[in-house]
Amino acid sequence: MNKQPEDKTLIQQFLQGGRAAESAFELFVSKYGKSIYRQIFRMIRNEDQSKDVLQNVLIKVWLSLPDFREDSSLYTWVYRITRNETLNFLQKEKIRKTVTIEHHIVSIIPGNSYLDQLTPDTISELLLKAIDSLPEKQALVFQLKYFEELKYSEISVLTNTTEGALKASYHHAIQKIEEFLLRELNQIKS
Amino acid sequence: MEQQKNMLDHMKPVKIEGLDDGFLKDLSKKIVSENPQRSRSIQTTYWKKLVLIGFSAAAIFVLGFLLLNQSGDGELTMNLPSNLAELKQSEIENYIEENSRDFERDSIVEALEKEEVSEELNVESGEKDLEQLFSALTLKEIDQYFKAEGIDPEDPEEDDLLY
Repeated sequence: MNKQPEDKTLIQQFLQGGRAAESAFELFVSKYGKSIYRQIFRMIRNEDQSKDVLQNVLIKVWLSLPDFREDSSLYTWVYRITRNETLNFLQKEKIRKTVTIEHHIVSIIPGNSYLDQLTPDTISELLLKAIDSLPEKQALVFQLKYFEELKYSEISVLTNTTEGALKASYHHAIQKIEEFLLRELNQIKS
Repeated sequence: MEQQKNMLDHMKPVKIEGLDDGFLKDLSKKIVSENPQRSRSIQTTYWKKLVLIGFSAAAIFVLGFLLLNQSGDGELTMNLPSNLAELKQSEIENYIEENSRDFERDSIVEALEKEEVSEELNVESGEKDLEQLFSALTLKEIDQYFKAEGIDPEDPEEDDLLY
């Protein structure tokens, strides 16, 4: 990711319009496309449908970039679009009942009496719900740290946030997720 | 209880099969070609229109304000207190100094004619013969007028007044 152009450069190039904008968009997709796809996939867990949503997200980014006010970092802005677009998709597909979960997002390391009794799919579902209950910033930091395994310094660049603030956000996110999981697992047990 | 804590430590994120670069490249090209974007020039035109509308509205407002403030005799009135407040003392003094010398004698005569001469000498305002007006005054009266007004007839700067 380090060899990629900086977000500021991409935005400036994009705002020039025309061929420069197209080139900037291609660079943007090359830089963030896979990360966006993984974010979608974790929520949908279906390859084809994740690709469809990815396309919708990228169209939205392409059309909305002229309105990007830089109130947040480019990545945070895109994360928000991706999350909303995916949730909208899931909402629609839930009604149609056409979501086919093909994958789970976590595997279990044996040794936890609570988790050992559950399937990876159930745990994946619970973990997604737990992430969904987090404030946006904490959810973003958690995803980048836990799933993408980025360093705080890398997340700091992506989100325009200090490493100290990121560590605090991640710590809070972990606490809330643990509490959420414990609460849900206790309900399942009883 | 220990097992209940740190549940995330017992979960390992599954690696997601990434998309290949070719797919992303084709997708970005497809999106660009199928979704013509609002160009910056269009946006600029839009903003120009907004600015133009804004200026037009401001111009109409100013014009309307001036027309509403027009007095009955067709002269534009000004908010003198606020305008004067913006002037410096030195500017006011300079203005008085310069313009008092440009004071036209007709204005003095007119004032004399209307207010003082007509009352004191009972001269009809219609009679504007300067010769007649001044011949009706005695030198003593003229001297008294100069003294009352603080005019020094010997001062060369008062030539304009004394014609």
